[in-house]
Amino acid sequence: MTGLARMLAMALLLLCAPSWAHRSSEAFLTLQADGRNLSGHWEIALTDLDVVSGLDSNGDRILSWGEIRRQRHRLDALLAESLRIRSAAQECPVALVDVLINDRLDGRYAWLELSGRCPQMPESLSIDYRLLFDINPAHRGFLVLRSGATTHSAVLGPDQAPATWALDSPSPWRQFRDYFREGVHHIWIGVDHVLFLLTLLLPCVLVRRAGPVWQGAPAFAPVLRDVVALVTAFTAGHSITLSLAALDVLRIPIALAESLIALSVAVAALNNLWPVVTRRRWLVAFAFGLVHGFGFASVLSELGLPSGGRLLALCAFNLGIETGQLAILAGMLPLLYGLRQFRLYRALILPLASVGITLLAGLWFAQRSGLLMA
Amino acid sequence: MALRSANPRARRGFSLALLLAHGSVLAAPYLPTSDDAQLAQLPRHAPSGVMAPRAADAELAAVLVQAYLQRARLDGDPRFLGYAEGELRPWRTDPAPPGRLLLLRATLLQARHNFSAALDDLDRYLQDEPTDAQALLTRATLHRVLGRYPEALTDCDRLGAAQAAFVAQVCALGIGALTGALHTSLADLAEMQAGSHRMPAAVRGWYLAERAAMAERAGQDALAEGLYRQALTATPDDPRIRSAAADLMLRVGQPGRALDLLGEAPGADILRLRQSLALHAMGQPRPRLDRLLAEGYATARRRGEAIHLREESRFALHILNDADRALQLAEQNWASQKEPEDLLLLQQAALAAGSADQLNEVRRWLNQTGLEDRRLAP
Repeated sequence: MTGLARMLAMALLLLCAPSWAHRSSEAFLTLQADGRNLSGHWEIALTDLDVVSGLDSNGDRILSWGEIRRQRHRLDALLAESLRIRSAAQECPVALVDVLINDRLDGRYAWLELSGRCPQMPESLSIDYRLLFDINPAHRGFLVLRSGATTHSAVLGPDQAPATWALDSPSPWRQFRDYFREGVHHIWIGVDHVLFLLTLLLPCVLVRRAGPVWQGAPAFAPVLRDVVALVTAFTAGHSITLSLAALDVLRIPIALAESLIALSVAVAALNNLWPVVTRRRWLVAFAFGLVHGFGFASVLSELGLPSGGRLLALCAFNLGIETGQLAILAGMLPLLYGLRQFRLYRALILPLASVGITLLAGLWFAQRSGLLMA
Repeated sequence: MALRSANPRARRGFSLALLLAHGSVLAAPYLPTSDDAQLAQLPRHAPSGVMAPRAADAELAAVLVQAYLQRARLDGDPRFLGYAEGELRPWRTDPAPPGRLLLLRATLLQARHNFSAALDDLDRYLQDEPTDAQALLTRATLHRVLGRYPEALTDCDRLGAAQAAFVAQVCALGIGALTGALHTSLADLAEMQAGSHRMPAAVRGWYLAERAAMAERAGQDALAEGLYRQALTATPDDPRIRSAAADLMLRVGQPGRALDLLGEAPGADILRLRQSLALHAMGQPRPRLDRLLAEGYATARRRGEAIHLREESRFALHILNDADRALQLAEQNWASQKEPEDLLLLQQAALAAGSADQLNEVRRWLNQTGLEDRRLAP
């Protein structure tokens, strides 16, 4: 009898007449899409975080800040496993920037500060949310996704395919700003373009006396004129090919463009050491500008042009590149102009820099054309 | 209970909006200053850490599911229902999970208020195991919650055949008390007092709580209070018995004693609601507690859950003073479950909102079943 009664006692425990407590497991994911950039935070109850990541390392069932802080790698792993964001078919990697604590009414939550970047300008985002579902399928993710003036909100559960949300199609002004920024960004991180400009710039502050001997330019005005001519020609060249490629009129393989860019840098540097072209250097700048344009175009095609406003985005991107270039010139030119009278500059810096650039660009060329062969 | 304002419509919406406007976040996120800062007390018995994926093992799953369901009821922590669901996941759509997993799945479905699916599983399980006492008692309770008293009584009787005489008798008297035989059932239950001492604490607590509820309906509040206290001595951890006892204190105008019963920070939301009701009745509302409750109901609603309707309706009626909303929720609740507490709530909301239709429904139910409940307004 007691065995049966004990079993019935269990039945009584399991009997769930109405009125459960309400609070199930919820996490709050807030994301903001701004151009290619994603930012936001993910709030996960500490209880849930321990269930999924085992943070209570000393097993005392009290979670201390040290246990969370020292096991941040587990949170990185958790993020990688449980949250996937894609734009079209491409993954937008999201990283854990910071871990904070947030007090909510129903208890303490970890506040995971997130930051990510899509490979291209997203027109929609799909979110694959997998937190906790293996252990607690009743968990839900409360998503708020903001883009421009639009806010999407959704409750994410285990039985749905990754959902996709259309992002606010940005205003022309925002689109312009986004692509302009990308242009500036690209010139700043594009070492080969900067190096090419610098190589052209190095001898601009000098004039050649009879023979192969450099001498400081006597006045700024001709130097500036020279530089403006070079940059204008370079810009004209790359704008032409960038536009042709971006609008699908003319394309060359990316590996070929990259190799030619490396070659252009090497050739420009060699020309500083053994000048072949001394007059009309702007023609060289124009020709190589054509090559660099294909390089910019490959970046732009990774970004993607918006289906509405292709021309606007193209112009913005190009203007961004020009602005980036001009900023570099504005910084470098006065410096070089100041250095021009020093023998050290003419005898050592110019040749050494040119040799270094030649070697580096030669190496790039070898690598990139090796890719070409492969 | 909280006094209704002269013009409930003026306050309606405003209160709820005000409660939710603060949001659920208390302040800005912060960086704890010390590694030693203790941030959270983690529940024991929760699954912890990254568990190695393992093959679906029905026997192990059955043990874990049972343990999680028990935890969920005792702690009032619905996360444990989720863990049980996680263990059951391999058999989620299996028409015939092995062994007791079918019964456990039914129990989980019932806890989620998915009554018809729970009944399907129980019927199937009982076809193979017609004398399983746990399954019979579970189905009897389910039928009773749904107001299907003949079916419930049949299962209670089959429990007797399964040689669980004491439980079968409490089960049958419980149905009798809802169908016109309140006073004789109460008297018969009282005679079982001596036998109850041989029962395990959980059975004794259940028996005493059943008696207490009958005594309340019979208008014997003092007796009911004594019985609830005995029940809580037998099973001090059962939040449902505690909340029933607190409800009695609230109804007889003793909110201070309700608070004593509930303690300072009850864990389960059903107890927190009683705490809030008591504090409002004493004129000492705690906005933070009310916000927590309001947010809980709103969250459950967004999740698409309907297991909280009874509680939410009381919250709307007595905390928000929103009779229309309370009536709407009480009607939805009444459509899914038919316990005397659900009927009482429907009547209170209908009176507050002035709904003759729902007052007719209350009368219809009383005539149909022979239910006697002195808590109801005449």
